[in-house]
Amino acid sequence: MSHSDRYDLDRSKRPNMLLKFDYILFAAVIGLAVMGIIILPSAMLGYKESVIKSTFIVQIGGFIVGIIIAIALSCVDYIVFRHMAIFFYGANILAMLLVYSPLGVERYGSRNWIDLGITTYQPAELMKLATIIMVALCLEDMKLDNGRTLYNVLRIGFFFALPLGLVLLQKDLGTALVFVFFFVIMLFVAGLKMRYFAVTAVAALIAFPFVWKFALNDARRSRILTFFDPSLDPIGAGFQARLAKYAIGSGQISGKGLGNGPINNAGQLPVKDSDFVFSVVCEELGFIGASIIIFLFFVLLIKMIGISRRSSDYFGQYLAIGIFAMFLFHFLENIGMNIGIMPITGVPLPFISKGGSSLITNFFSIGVMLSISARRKSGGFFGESS
Amino acid sequence: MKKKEKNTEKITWISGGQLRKRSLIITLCFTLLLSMLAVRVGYIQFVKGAEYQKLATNQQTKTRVITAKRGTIYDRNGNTLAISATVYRVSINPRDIKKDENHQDNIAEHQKHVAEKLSEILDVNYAEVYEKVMKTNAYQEIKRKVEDEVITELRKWIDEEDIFGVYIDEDAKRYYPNNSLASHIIGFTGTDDQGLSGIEAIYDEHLTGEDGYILTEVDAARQSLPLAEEVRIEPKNGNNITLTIDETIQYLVEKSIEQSVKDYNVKNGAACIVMNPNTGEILAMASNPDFDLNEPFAFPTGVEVEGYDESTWTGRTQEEVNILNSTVWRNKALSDTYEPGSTFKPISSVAFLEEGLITKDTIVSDSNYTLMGSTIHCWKKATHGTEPFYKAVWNSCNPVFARLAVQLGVEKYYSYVRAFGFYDKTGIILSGEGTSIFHKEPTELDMAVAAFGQRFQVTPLQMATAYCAIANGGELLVPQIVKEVTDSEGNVIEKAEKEVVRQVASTETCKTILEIMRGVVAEGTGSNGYVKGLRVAGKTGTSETVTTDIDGRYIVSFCGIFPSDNPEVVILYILDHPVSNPNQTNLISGGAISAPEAAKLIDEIANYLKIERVYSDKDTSELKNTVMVPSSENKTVGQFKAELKKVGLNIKVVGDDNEDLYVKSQMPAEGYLIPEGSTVVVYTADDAQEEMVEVPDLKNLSVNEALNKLNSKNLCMKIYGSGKVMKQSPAAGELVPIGTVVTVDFRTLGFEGAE
Repeated sequence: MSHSDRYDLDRSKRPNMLLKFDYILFAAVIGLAVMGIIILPSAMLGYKESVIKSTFIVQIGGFIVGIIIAIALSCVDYIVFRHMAIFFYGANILAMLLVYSPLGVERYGSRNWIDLGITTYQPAELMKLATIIMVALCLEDMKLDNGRTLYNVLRIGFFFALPLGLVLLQKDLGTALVFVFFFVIMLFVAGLKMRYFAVTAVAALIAFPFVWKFALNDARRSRILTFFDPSLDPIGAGFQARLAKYAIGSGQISGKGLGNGPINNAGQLPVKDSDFVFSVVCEELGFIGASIIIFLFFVLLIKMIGISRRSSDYFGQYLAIGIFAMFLFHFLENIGMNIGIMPITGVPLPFISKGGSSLITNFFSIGVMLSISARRKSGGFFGESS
Repeated sequence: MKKKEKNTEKITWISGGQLRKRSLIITLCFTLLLSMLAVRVGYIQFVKGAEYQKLATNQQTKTRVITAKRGTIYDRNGNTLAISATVYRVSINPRDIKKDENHQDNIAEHQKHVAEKLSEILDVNYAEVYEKVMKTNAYQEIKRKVEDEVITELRKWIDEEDIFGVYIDEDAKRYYPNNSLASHIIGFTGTDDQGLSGIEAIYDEHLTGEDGYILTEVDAARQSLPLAEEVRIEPKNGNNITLTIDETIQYLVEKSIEQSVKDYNVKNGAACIVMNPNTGEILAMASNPDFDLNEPFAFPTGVEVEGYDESTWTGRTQEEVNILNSTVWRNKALSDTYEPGSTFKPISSVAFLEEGLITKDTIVSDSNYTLMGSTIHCWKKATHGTEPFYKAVWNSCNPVFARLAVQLGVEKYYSYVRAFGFYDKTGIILSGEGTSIFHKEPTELDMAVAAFGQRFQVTPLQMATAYCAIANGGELLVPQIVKEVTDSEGNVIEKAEKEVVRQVASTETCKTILEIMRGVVAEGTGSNGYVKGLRVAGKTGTSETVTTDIDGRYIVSFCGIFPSDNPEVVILYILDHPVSNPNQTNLISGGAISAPEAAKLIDEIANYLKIERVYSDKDTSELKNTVMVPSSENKTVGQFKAELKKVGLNIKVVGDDNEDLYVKSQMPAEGYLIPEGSTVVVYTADDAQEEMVEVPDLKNLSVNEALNKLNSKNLCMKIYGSGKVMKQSPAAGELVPIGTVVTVDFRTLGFEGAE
């Protein structure tokens, strides 16, 4: 099978970006980021003035840089990522190891940040995208390549397990779950037979006690335990979960108004600028605010599925579904823990939560998505490919 | 597309053409999940909304902390060494202050006023307080560790002006009632009550309790809602630690080494360890210079710190902390290493006897001994010739030890040094234990010199622990410092048990060594360590240091065990670099300095522990019968005179000598122990002028001569030691009231240059 056989797309022709640009997806993203900027000053209520100011500037800066990155990437053929995958992946693995160098910084009990001088950066953020690209590449090879099953399985296993192991070493449970989630979805969509999922589920069940004992710290363990029994920690995680519910509940239809939420003002919500930012939205902007966010995410996710379905090649399909899964998990887990149906893990709400590295990574992923979209096969919203 | 799917069918583990079907499943699933999220948010906001809103209003104020009380540290008899006193933490709720109904007309003025009053009463910076008052959140800490009287003032102001939003909660502050006592062992805590050194740090987890909380649920309008409740989680107080230290012995030890440091102008400080040899418990462990635990970061006293003075000292810079660490905070008894000198000879003796090389009566030669080109001499120029081994120990003859060690052989000799634990840490739980220094591959000469305690270094604690093994019949024990840990209700959580490392030597050998060492004190170089009626076994040591040749730094020590037939106490007394000796000869040696000072200390410790004394004939002949001065309270001169006569004391009346007059005052006071035949001075008038007398010079007099001379001046004498007068206090020529007790130290000379 020759190389050109792999693709339907004529890559010598550049798509007309003005026609092919995915305006709806882009609008949903801008909408979410704007919501984030609206709620941010309120979410930082009670912080030092100087901190509020600098964080706000970083967030606006991240927003602008992010948009530029996304538009620029949309013009680049995503096939570049296929060619560059190993370098991108390698660079990110290196960055992950840097947390153990003197550049590493410890926050909230986990050493998973590196200090770049002007700002800090969480290498696990971009690692997610690098891993998705690598897995998509492997899956495509697998789909096209006959007779080298063992080699393929080992390769995909290695490229996935290495970053996951590093994330677990950093005791970052939330991010580890993101990895597992997008990997499973990608395999599922690639067509892995159901019996393999069953085997993996059993293996996960066996691995659980070891992860529990060695990969989690006390704080993480207690968060999970408290999810099942809030009375275990009435002033810690259980208290946080209860407060989040109070905050959401007191918002009702239209909310208390920006900066007026009583729970928010009491300063008791933990990491309310990131993990619990959704509670602040609910308290101050009410059901209306919450619905806008959920709707925008729905648009974003449904567009991503569509892009995956209509992508011109396997690589594009898997890459898009991986990015989709990453966003979906962030969204479900973050909102889920805010409303008390998921255990508390430190997973931010994409585009809304404070944080420069997460914002830029998210826009980066959107840029890749836009690029796949621009090179899609023609068709409608749920268009059939043929 | 179709074509490709066909190809993939050959791959067994992936089924082909699943993308469309499966991505449809995912679309359905996530749409469902998103809808569920929206429904759940709606449910919380609409159905539960009203209820949660009420609860939310109740969550207006910040969780406040009730600090758990840190555990107390006791001495072995239950005396308090470190305790947490209750002080207070003042915090405010800026939102409550802002919403105060009574001052809504001019809230800016009110906020300013609150900040002013807080800064005034609590003595904190106004600008900082004002900034905190103007914050938008619900909790700001104003000051911690506020004393009771300040709080009373604060409460008064709050009541008078009906101030709302200022909170007072319990906080704890560490307090050390004995200031510098056992400072190196107890250690101190930081501002957050966390242990920073000593037991406070090592047992921090035990001592720290678990803080309690008040989850206040009062709404901003100061109206308690029907649903409101205050959740109070009680603090769990820390565990208490009982040390093996005896406060009284520790005090006696510290007083003694402090006095010695002054008297002998000691340059590098001093250390002393007192242990119970049968359990390994440390009864006292002192290091000089020391520091006040209540002010651990204060300017170090008793040391020279170049380039710093008290006025600019902060105690907070890294450099200053380093200075503190290397001076007053340093536990010399634990962290320093020193050359033990002749105090090591009993250890060598154990090896010789245990191996059957000699018995205590074997005749040995003290002649000069040449080995590998070096010649080892006895301190006595003429040498002691041939003598039985026990006498060689009494006389501290170096060539004897060198010869015997060479006969024993390097391997066997060092196996004993190792067995006594000199190569290992003692295992005490205190941190900062020093590491001993030995030759890696000792030659015969290294060993010969080591046999009399030179050219290697050990820690004082290793030395004391080794002596404990000799004292208890050969068991090397782990030194204990913590006796037990109890919780705040008094239940025992941990109890220290005697820990035997190994049997070092037979009980027989140890008994023999003790007997010889008793002779050292009774007859030999350690005779200044003699305490009347007490069977003290011991050995003195004078150690050279690397700077001995440059600045004359010697480390002088005495290591003693008493009573020798049934040992209860082991004591090691070390002075590092004494510069002068009040004795004319200005002799610097363990026998001349450490032994007599240790003897005085042993005397006091034996009295305190009520150790039975058996006086020898020699003791009785030298010992003036001492009697206790009776009380003259409510007695006439006649009555008192009769009472004094009964115990063998004379009387001198100052003022009107009328038998019927009542005695107004007396000197020495009731309870003093003075020799029989001394004179007690009494005054019959309230305003009687004290009769003064010049203290005579007693230098080099014998006990009897000194006593006669003092008696003739109507002065009393307190006797220490035996032999000739070496030291007196007050000094000769000072004017003192008659009846004053003059403390006189006697020394046996004639062992100059020993060791």
